[in-house]
Amino acid sequence: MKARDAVSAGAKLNGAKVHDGKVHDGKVSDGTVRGSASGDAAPGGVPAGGVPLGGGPPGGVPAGDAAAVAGPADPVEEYTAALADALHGPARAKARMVQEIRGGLEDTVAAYVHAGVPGPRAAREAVREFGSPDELVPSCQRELTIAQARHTARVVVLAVPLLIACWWMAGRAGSGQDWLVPRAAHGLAVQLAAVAGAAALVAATTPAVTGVLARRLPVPQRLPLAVAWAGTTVSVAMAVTTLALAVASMLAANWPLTLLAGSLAAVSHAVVASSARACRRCARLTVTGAALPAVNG
Amino acid sequence: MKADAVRGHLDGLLLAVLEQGPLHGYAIIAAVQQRSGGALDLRTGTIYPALNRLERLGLLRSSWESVGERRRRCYELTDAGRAGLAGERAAWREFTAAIGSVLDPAPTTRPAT
Repeated sequence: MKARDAVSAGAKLNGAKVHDGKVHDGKVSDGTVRGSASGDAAPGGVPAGGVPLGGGPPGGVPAGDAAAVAGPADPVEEYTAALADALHGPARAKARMVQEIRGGLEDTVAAYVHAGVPGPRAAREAVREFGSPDELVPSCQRELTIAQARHTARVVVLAVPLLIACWWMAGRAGSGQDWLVPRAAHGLAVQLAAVAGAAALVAATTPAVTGVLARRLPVPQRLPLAVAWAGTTVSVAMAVTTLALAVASMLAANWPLTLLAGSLAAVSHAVVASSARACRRCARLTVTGAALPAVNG
Repeated sequence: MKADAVRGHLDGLLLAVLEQGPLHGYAIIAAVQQRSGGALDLRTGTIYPALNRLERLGLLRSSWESVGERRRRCYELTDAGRAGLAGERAAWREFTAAIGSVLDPAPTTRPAT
């Protein structure tokens, strides 16, 4: 018996007030759709007897009780912990996904409990209804991998102007000096800017390719890996810049400005390298861990 | 109906139940079940990454709503989502008409001899 069937049956028996789970003017409705004894529901809403939305309405089960009812060896806790262990991606996106799934599980448990199923069994049934973590991980990881690729792409796009700014600052610091090191540094800066610019172009297309364009065209399977390597390229350019500016700061007339530029390059190298590493890891997980479904997006 | 059969139509189903107004994840699942009379057997958990994907594509937008101590992510259609739903409906009608004309051919009139 599914939770929704169970609750619906319960509503039919006792004619309890039930919720529609809808949001009106940005607020989740607090009350209660008239859950008639015949099991009517609002159009597009939850069937009569839909899961309580919390707040402990008359006849309802506070949704937050689900975890408490399930006891110490809570299957919901175990489930969400397994999911959190298996998934990798930007911290905020991952936390949101896990929290949302956990909330859905708790709603399902609450619906079972509301229908009279004992707490521990309700939790087990809810987990079974959700599908195993193994079933969920590929599609969740795919989304997190794309989220990571978009994040890394943003970092790369922001880092490239910073790279150019660092070299510009170094150029200002060394202006007026016409000896070998500044000229060599200038040549190096041009080369690095060209490489980083190419990487930034790849990164700049990522939001559109994974967003609006993905409504019609599938996201290329290798895109996250390409973004990861673009990030690695820019991080290497930043590392070379840091090294070059550290040497230049020892020779430049305005060494504090050169040192400041070098420090900025070092910090941005750390940020880009870390994001690129995370993106590579996610890309590997998506390619090896789960066959991507051949659907758009 | 098995989950595999539903998978290809999940986007359309999710967009359709959100046409009436914003819903959170569990309410979306319940609405799909209710509208299908319980015939569609979804793996409940699979709708969450699907909702994330539709949001990424700009077809949905979402926000956290607090009810008591609980927070739920509520989704609603964007203008692009409404257009996407219209496209899904048109494609579905075309598809069922084509399959229907093969499975249930109209009786052919035999030419008079």
